[in-house]
Amino acid sequence: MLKKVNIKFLPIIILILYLITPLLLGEYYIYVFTIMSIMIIVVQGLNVMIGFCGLFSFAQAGFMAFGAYFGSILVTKLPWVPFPLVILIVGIASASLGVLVGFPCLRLSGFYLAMATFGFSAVIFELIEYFSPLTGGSEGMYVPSAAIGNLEIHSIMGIFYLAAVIMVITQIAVQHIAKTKTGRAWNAIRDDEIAASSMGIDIQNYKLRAFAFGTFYAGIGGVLYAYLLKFLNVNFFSGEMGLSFFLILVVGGIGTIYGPVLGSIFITLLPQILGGAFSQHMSLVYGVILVSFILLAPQGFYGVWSQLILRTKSNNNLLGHLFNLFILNKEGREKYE
Amino acid sequence: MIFSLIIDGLAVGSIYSLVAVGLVMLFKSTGALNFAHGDFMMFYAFVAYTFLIQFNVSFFITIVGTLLFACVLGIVVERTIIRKLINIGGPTIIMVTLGLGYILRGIAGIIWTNDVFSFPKLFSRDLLYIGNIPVPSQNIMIIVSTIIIISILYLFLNYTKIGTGLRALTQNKTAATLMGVRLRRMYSLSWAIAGMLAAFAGILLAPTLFLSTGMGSITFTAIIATIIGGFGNIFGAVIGGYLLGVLQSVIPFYIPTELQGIIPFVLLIVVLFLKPTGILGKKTIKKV
Repeated sequence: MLKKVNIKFLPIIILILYLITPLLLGEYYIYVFTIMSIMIIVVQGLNVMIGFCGLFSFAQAGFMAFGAYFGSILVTKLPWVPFPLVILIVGIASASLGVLVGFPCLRLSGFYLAMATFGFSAVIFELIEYFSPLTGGSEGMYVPSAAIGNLEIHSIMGIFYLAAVIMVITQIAVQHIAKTKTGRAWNAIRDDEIAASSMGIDIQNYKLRAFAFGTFYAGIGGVLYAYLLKFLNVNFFSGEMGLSFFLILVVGGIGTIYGPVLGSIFITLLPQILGGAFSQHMSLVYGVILVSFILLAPQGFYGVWSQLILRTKSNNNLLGHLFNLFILNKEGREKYE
Repeated sequence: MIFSLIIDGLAVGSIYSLVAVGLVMLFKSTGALNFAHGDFMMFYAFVAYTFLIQFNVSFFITIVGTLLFACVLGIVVERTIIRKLINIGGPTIIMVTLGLGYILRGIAGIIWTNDVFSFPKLFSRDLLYIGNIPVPSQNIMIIVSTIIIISILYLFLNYTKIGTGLRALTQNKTAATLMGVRLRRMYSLSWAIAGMLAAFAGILLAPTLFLSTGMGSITFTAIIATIIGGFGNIFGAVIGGYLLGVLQSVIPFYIPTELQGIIPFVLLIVVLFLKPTGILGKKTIKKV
């Protein structure tokens, strides 16, 4: 088992780096970093479902598509709705749909839930293509800019900061909920359903909460994605996107709060680092990464990193000392000294 | 008209059945819901294509070679990857098979490119007449060969010592081990058999469709077939496969063409709501 590592300053350092880096690297990287924010939000939702509560859902990309299209149609029909409200409405709509779908599905467990959610997302994609007057069908639809009153966010920079702010809020919300009764109930259900129910946990209720939470995040991520691209097509969502969420989750660390963050950073930057040579064979690269992480480091980057800290703690070297001094908070430092 | 649609559906359903039976065997023995099974099938179809076109060997040698390749690849994957995860189970194995699917698609893309190939026809394209109704003989051949393959599997599982051992393993691992069933060999065996079934499915499917790296998406349809028939039951998988094939071929006659793609999923959702255990499934009670 991994010991809990106390970190206080690192998230803030990462956040500052995150906000500054794309400004130095130019417009393309602002786009890449915005995608990264959206991925963090959506995968964090998946993490709550799979990692916290043990619900294996394939529908995250489907709910993201629902959020993107629902938000875009809402903005097209009612342009006066300010964008914070749009994001909230879409999140709630997505969560309500999640509860509606989840209610019958969650009676079933494991693979049945996985397949039912997969079927559901396939139905969403087909329906989006079918209602072409509203959604543009296979030709796609254009999305108006995010607006509040007469003020419109035109620049990609605006979307970048919008996504970053929402990412931070959702991240803090997950951090908070993991410590509450609900978070602990989720973990209990994940570890042993029967034991949890015998302790008086209402399994159905808490599973539905996890499902609503995850789909809420997927909906929000979908709207931000629509605002960023300004153009939607079902193929954006129906292809490998759903699989890449799992990849991010495994690479970062399933069931850890910072796992989705680390995973998203790695997976969105990987194509930029590898460059054009691998762009043809990205699916092979992803597959090798996924399989080798599961076999060699099943806890993902977060697990590797916390083990590293534990090791540096036991070795009394200078690097480890500095590391602990900067990273650990006061309590951890005292323990170390 | 309906009759020939049903024959079409049975031909497609045969292939679903072959894939679905392989999936169920893997799940029952190693607990792995193999999301890469369709990608394995795609890979073996490409291997058969290479034998047939590039090595230019006879049809018989192609089948033997592909089956051998499927056996070896199945055992290698089981020994190197799956075996280490059998005791962890659940989501981990699903994710590893998703990764395997990525890898197989990637490798196939590198070796054979992502283009669409046309696989040489194995059977003649003539039309047979049953009464007055024209039926493509290819479809009849697919159905007949599937029935033969599944019968052989049935005989193997029920009337040989190894097959009995494999069935014992799926019922109770501990008891089977105590009775002298060699667990690890059985794991490898089930992956080899499932691989061969996938290879057959690939060889039968590729001539009717086109050959491309996207063929692997059949996995999801096959999983739906297993759930409709009753998950974890080999005969349920066969029945589910045929049922799904026929419905998928008949229903589009009555609904708008744009909605064809969702038929399997709507069927799945209906089955999950009405009878989650499927047609042949028995209700299991989870004990502590």
